[in-house]
Amino acid sequence: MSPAAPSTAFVAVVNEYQALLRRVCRLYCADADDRQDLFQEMVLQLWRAWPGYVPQAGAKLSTWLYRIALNVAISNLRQRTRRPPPLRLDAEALELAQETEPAGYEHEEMAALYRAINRLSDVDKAFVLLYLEERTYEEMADILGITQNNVRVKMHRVQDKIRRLLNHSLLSVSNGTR
Amino acid sequence: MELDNFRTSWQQSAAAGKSASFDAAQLAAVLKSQPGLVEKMRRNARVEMALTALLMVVFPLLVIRLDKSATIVYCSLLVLMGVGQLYYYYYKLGVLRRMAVVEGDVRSHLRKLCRELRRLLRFFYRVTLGTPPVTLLLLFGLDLAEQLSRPESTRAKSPLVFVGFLLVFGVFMQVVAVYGTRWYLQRLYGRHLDRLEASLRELDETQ
Repeated sequence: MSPAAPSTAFVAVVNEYQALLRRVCRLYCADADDRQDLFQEMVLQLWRAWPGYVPQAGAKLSTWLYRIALNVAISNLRQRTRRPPPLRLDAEALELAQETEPAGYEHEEMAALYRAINRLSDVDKAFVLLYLEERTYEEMADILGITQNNVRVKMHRVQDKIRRLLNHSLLSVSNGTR
Repeated sequence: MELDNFRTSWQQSAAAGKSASFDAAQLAAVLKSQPGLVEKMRRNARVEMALTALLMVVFPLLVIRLDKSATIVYCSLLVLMGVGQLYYYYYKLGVLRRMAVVEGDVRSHLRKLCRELRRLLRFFYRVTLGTPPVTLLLLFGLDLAEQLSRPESTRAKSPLVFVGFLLVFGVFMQVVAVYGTRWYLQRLYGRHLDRLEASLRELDETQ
C-alpha cells in the first residue's frame, strides 16, 4: 500500500516528537539499522492511525504516541530476525555512555546500566522507558493498559531487577570476569 | 547508579541526539519504506489470492477442451478446492488487517495480536490437515471413474490394491502433514507468538 503524502499537521507532529520516537528505538534496538527500521515502522503506523486520532479533553498527544510507539516496538516481528550479538551492544552502550555522561559518573557505570536495561524483557523496557521519560503513573497505566497500582508494583520489581543486574555486572567488572 | 540518576543523562542524550527535521517529501519517502512482517504477509496473501483466482479462470478454459469426462470431473473438483483456497486467503487477509492496526493501549494490542495470530495459525493448521484426505478422496474418485469407463475386460482385477495403497499413502501423508505443519508454523510464527504471549503474561501477572 502506498501511503498518501503526509499532511502538514502530521509532519509537524513527527518533527516535534521525533526525539521521543528515537528514544524508544534506542531502548529497543541496539543496532543502528534496526533502530532506523523501527523508527520507519513507527512513523508508518502513526501515519495510518493519524486520521483516527481525535484529541480528547485531558488526553495528551504524547500518550497516543507512546502507545503506538510501544505497540510497534514490542510487537514488531521484523526486527527480531537480526538481533546483533550482545558484545556489539556493550561497545555501543559504552560509546553512548561516553557521549552523554554527566560529570562525576564513571563510563563503565553508565554502560553497565545500559547493559542491564538491555537484558530486561520488552515489557520491562516499556516501564523503564516511561519512567525515564518522567511519565506519571496515571499516564503509564493509560499507555500500558493496566491499573496505577499495578504500575507501581511492576515499577518496583523492574527497579529491583536493574539493581540486581547492575550489582552482578559491576561485581563481574571488578573481578575482571566480564 | 540508580534509575533515578539515569533520568537526567537519558534526557540529555535525547537532546544531544536530536535528528534533523523532516519536510513533507522526506517523510513521504520514510512512509514508502519497506513494510513490516504483517504487511509482507498481507502482500503475499494478496499475490497468492490473485494467482489462485487466475488459475481458476485459466483451468476451466483448458479442461473444457478435454474429452475425458473423468478428467473434467476431477479438474472441476480442483476448481472447487480453489474456491476453498480463496476463502482461506479472504479469512487470512481479514485477520492480518486487524493485526495491522496498532492503536490502543499496549495490553489490549498484545491481547488482540495473540488472539488473531493464534486464530490464523489454527485455521491454517486445520486447512492443511484437511487437504490430504480430500486429495486422496479425489484420487480415489478419479481412479474409480476411470475404471468404470473402461470395458469390463480391461479393468483392474483387484481394485482393493489401489484402495489399500491410497490408505497407506494417506496415513503417511497425514503424519507428514501433522508434524510438518507443526514444525513449519512453529518455525515461521511460533516464536513470535511465544514472545507476544510472554509479553502479555508479564502485563497480566500484575493485574
